[in-house]
Amino acid sequence: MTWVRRHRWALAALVVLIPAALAAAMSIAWFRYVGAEAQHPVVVRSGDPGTYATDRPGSDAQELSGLTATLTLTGYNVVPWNTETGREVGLLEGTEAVSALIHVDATGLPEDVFSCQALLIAPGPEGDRVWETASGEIDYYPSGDLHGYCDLSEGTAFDWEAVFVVPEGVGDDARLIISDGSLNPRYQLQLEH
Amino acid sequence: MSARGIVVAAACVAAAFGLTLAAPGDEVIQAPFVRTIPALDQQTATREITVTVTDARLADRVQTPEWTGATNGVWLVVDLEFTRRISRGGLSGAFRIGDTHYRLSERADLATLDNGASGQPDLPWAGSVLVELPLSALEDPGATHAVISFAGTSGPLGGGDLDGVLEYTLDLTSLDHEPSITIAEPARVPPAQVVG
Repeated sequence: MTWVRRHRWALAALVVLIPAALAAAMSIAWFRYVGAEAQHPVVVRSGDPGTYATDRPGSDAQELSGLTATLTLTGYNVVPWNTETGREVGLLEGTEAVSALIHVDATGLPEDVFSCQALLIAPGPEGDRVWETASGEIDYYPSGDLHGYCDLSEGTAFDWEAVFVVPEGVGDDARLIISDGSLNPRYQLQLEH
Repeated sequence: MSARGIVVAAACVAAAFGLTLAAPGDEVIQAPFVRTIPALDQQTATREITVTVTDARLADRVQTPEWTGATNGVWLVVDLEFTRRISRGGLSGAFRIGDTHYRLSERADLATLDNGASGQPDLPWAGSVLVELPLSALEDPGATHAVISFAGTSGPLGGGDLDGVLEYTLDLTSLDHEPSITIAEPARVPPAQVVG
């Protein structure tokens, strides 16, 4: 009787137990990874209202609390650097400004909810490039009835102008994403333009 | 246990021991991906940033519109352009001569690129970084191949050592040494060609 034949039951047990032990050890990391993975954005066509699910700080990371706002993209304009407006706001050569007008209905939301943030995303050589709203890049800031940021905690409806500065040619094809601004947002809304 | 069984068991133990030895340690796992900036005016990229070193000089005094930096040693002034590639963030740096490590100077506050610039993808900044050195550093045998390194801050992995690092080698003994240098505050500049 060969050695393998004599130990067949022990070897068979190893064949089963080793993969089982590996699976058990790696499953914790796997579930943690899946839980932390960014969710695919909910895509809303231009002009249609989109539901943005927000939350309170400290709430359960796996559950959305049902606190929602309605966001509607009402305008999306690209201003190249070599236009009168581009020069007025001080755009550098080779850049363009993007103005996204968003009507936000946050009626009834409590004061302690997360606010939202707008991002422009376009593909690049190292994966997606992400632009945050402009901060000092140009001499322009929304004024009058327009809000310069998305403050859901006001609990009212308002018009928000999110302004970006991006390299020339990026604005028309970039994706406009609303999220809480974290690395792995649990909820993302894409407003098509 | 048969002789063959003992051999198999010993082989398994040896293989396990070999695997343990072959596994990389924390230092290797967290080591940065280093790329060398080959020369002045050569744009070089990591995954997070691009850097172009445009000049490097020594000075006894550095000036900005609002600050005068006197020193008992000597200033190393490195002019460069940097661009973020993926996300918003800044630039960090370090300097070393042999085994001696120096931090970039924060004395000029926001007038240096590592303190005063926050870039967005493909929208470059130009400015300077400063290193304050003792005069004895110029006599160090390693002064002919000192290294200034750059990394991004606030990247997807937190920037710095967990991502790419760019290194530029300087011969301190061959740099121009000026009584005073005035540095411009960090400023956005028109986008250039993106390095792939």
